[in-house]
Amino acid sequence: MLQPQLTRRDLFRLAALAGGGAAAGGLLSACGADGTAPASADIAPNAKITFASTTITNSLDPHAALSNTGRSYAVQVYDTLVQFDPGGGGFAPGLATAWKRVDDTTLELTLREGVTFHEGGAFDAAAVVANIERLTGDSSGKLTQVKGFLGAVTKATAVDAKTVRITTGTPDPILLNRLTRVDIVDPSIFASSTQKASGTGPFRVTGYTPAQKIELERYARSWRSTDRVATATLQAISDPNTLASALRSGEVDIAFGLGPTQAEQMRGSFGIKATSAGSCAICSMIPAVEPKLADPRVREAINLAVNRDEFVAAGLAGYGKPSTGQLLQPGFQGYDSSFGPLPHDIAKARQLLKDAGAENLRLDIATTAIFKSQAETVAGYLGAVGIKSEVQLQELSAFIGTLLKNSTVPLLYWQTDYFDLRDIASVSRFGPQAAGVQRHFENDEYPALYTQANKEMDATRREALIKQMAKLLREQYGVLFLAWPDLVYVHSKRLVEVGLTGNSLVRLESLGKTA
Amino acid sequence: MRWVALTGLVALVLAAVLAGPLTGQDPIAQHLGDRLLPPGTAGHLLGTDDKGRDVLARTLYGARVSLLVGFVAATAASAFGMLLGLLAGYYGGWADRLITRAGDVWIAFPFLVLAVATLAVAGSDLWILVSLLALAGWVTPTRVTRSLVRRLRGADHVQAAIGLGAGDARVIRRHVLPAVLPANLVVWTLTVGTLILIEGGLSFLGLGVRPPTPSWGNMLNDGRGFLEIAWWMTAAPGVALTLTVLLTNLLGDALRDRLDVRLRDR
Amino acid sequence: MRRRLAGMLTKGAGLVVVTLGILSLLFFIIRLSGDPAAILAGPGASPEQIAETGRALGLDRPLWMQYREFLADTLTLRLGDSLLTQRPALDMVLDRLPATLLLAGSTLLTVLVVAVPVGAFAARFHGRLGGRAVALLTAVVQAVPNFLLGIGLIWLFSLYLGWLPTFGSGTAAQLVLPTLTLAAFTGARVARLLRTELLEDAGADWMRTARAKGVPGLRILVRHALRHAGLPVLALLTVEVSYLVSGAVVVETLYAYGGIGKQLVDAVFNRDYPVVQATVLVVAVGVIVVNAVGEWLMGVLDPRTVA
Repeated sequence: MLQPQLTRRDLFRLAALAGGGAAAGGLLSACGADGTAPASADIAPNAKITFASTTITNSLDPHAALSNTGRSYAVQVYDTLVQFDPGGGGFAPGLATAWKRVDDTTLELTLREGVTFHEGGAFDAAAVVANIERLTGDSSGKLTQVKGFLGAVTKATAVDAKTVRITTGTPDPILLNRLTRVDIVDPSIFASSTQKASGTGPFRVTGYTPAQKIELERYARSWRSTDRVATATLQAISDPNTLASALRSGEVDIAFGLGPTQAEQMRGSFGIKATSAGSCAICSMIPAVEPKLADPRVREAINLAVNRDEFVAAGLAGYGKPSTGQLLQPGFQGYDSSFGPLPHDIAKARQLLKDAGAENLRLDIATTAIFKSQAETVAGYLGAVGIKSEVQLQELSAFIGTLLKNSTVPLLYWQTDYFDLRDIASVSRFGPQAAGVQRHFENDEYPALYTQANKEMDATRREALIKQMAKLLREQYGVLFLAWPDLVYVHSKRLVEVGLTGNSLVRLESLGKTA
Repeated sequence: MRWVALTGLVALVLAAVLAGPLTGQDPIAQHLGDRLLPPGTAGHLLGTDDKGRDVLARTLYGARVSLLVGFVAATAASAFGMLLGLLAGYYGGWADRLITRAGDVWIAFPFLVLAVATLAVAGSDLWILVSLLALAGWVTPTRVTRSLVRRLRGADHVQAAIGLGAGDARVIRRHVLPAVLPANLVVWTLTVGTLILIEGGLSFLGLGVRPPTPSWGNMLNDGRGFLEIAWWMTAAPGVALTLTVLLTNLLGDALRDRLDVRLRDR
Repeated sequence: MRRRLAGMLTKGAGLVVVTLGILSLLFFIIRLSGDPAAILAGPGASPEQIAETGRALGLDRPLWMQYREFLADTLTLRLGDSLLTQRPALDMVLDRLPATLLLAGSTLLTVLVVAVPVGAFAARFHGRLGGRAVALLTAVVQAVPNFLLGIGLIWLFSLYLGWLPTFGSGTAAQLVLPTLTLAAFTGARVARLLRTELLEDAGADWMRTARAKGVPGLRILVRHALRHAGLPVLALLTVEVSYLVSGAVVVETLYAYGGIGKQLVDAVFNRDYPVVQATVLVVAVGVIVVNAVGEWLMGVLDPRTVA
């Protein structure tokens, strides 16, 4: 299947391993990376690794990378100031070893000592300031996305060579989350950043064929460096079936981007690393396209039509968990453990549709090729309660327009990714919208709560606000809740250790390959 | 040979038309509890797909889409091509030069790119798909018709008819059209097969008919992901598609021999 | 000679006009169907961010102004940078062109080396079992969708036998499966066409004369018949150049082969206009060259065809 260079599957990355999330992983790790891992003594040093995924970064410059397609490259070559803690919900040191809030709008970070860029320059406070200024000062439109992640950041100042202060225009409760998205690039290559790479990560770039592959070589001076992997190739194989063949033939060691049903077929002969992604599969219901969707009874009926356990078992091959009617999954700030499973009741759904005078509805679903199978499953469920539904596949750029501006299709199948910031702030579609832009949920209270939550500096109060948003969305059946899908890496059994970052990216330097 | 091909195609069309009574199954109704049942399972002669839908029913209903797309698009392409070919061949001059050059360039350009771009805008609507495929196939009938008409234009009986004061319309109707029809019938037959293949390719790229409506291309696309554990999801539409194209090609060959048509200008 | 030159010139001029037409069509299709700014800003972007990106790219100006500028840029070959990779669009196309030319070349070679003997064999043994079997086989090969064939080839040669790599480009081994997949359809067509042509020629006067003069069968086939039947085959092959780009999209996708076909479709998907523009222009140049070479070859084979 042909895919655009950006694929949605690459957009869900972050894991929430903490708390109840482990329950989802439990089942999967049982059939995944099975317990036959040999002692680490069997791991040979200086391995050569091929890591394939359906797409690779669109640019060597991590600041110009689009959405998250560039993350699995950037994490090998670059470092961020702070990172999400792989072991839990908090933060772990990156290029900054310590940080403290000076006041509501200022954060002071202490930088790691003795770090040098691949090109030889020293990493210091001036480099951090140059990176922040590069992003905040960009007017070319090319760095928009990463700039967007910086939110209200206005400036960075060097206190001394190893201390930096970052200032925001307004109080920002998730400033640290935002800093996990900013890779620190060697300022000496800003001008040539599409041609070469220079970061502080454990690998340096030795070759780049756009949209095809990136060759990496160990950078031993990195503070993250290990002796395990000497060279690595990041390979793009856009067709998931070819990706599966390449794994089977042994040409690829580890792959990302296989569909859940494909991963299921590789169980047994391959190791599978499935972690819950910070993402919720939903269908938006757009009343502007089909006015009947403004009726809460119709929205409830649509929610009743879907059997979520079956959807996860058959549609996602078990790689996920049924949503309990909230976007956030366990482990994220504002997850509400008091929500029970959503019911599946065809008779009641039909009755509600009848009461609402909405029999013989026709509700097509728009989505991208990646989600075709799942959207088709939803269409099947709608058919069972008498709603006619076909799936309209749009390629990603058209679908983003459908999602962000104005749709002509009543239902939109997508995933609300909040892994990037590990926060509900990432799900901006239900927040305030500009004039002339469709609303995914006709409600004035929700956007107000969203705005309020994103400037609330007190953690307890903020959590209460997010829970209030979730309650509202579920009571009103604001969306069709489906599932929290997992993200799945399939790897050769020769890889006996696969380390992930706190946002579920493979750390190449951690891979343990047997001889 | 042509009877084999013709009988096969008629049988296919009948099977497509009678898909409902033949299988007694809904090709769209999903039963996730019955997914990936192997062929021979009670009630599912060719098994079920990953959504628990009957593969035989989907293959036969899929034939409707593929045959409809192939026949309608090829007919449109032939009609359009014959019209242009007549214009170019009969009148010659700038119309001829324009049409011929446009055909040369059109056929040299990667059609798929236009198709991808257009379907990206318009969404994968059945009739847009048919129009695109018609556009993919107009050049061959144009060329064949043009060269035949040019030869006819100079023939004695046509010149005589013109000399006797017959109008263009009459000459074309009485003398030219009957002479170009056999060759175009052959071209039409061969075009059907080609267009069914292209539809399959577009579906492979995710640009075909809207799911859950079955078409062979769609089914092949779905089946690929399950090749290891459910070969029947690929085999049924794959064999159906290949067989249909093969039969139309063989019919075209047989007709060409029978009607003694030379297609040098293809 | 002068007439021939003039003919090629008008053809070239026609091609330029049609190329501009196709580019304009693509320009409007791409501009009207999706917002490149939305892609660059990403699915999580706020409407303000998208608007800001659009302004930075000059996408907020009236469409006719953008079109005028696009026309001027095309005519002066200022193709700009890819929106996505920010590398010069022409470089991106030229970087991948060798892989495409290699694939096209090896496909044409395979077609000629395999299809010509096969077609000749089918004609020579027409009516006998061998001839019929080959004729049927070529008909079947022509009817199999290329992606289905590709899947089968990967399974057989890469997974079952383990002889060839499943993906990639750059080495000879990586060229084999894409070539076979792409060559199958064209090869079958050429073999079938050649068979038909040879059979038709078998009844022709010059053939009977040659035979009556006692020229041996094989020599007739090689010296006279193939040469005669070569013309329509050559005509078909020049036309098939477009198939080598279109068909290559599927093949390049299937084998993650780095040619310009897949890059072009990706660029359309991503609304990366400069890359679309550069690719279409390069393809147009390729079409001009192939047509010129084809016409020259036809002139060599048969001076009468030069009109």
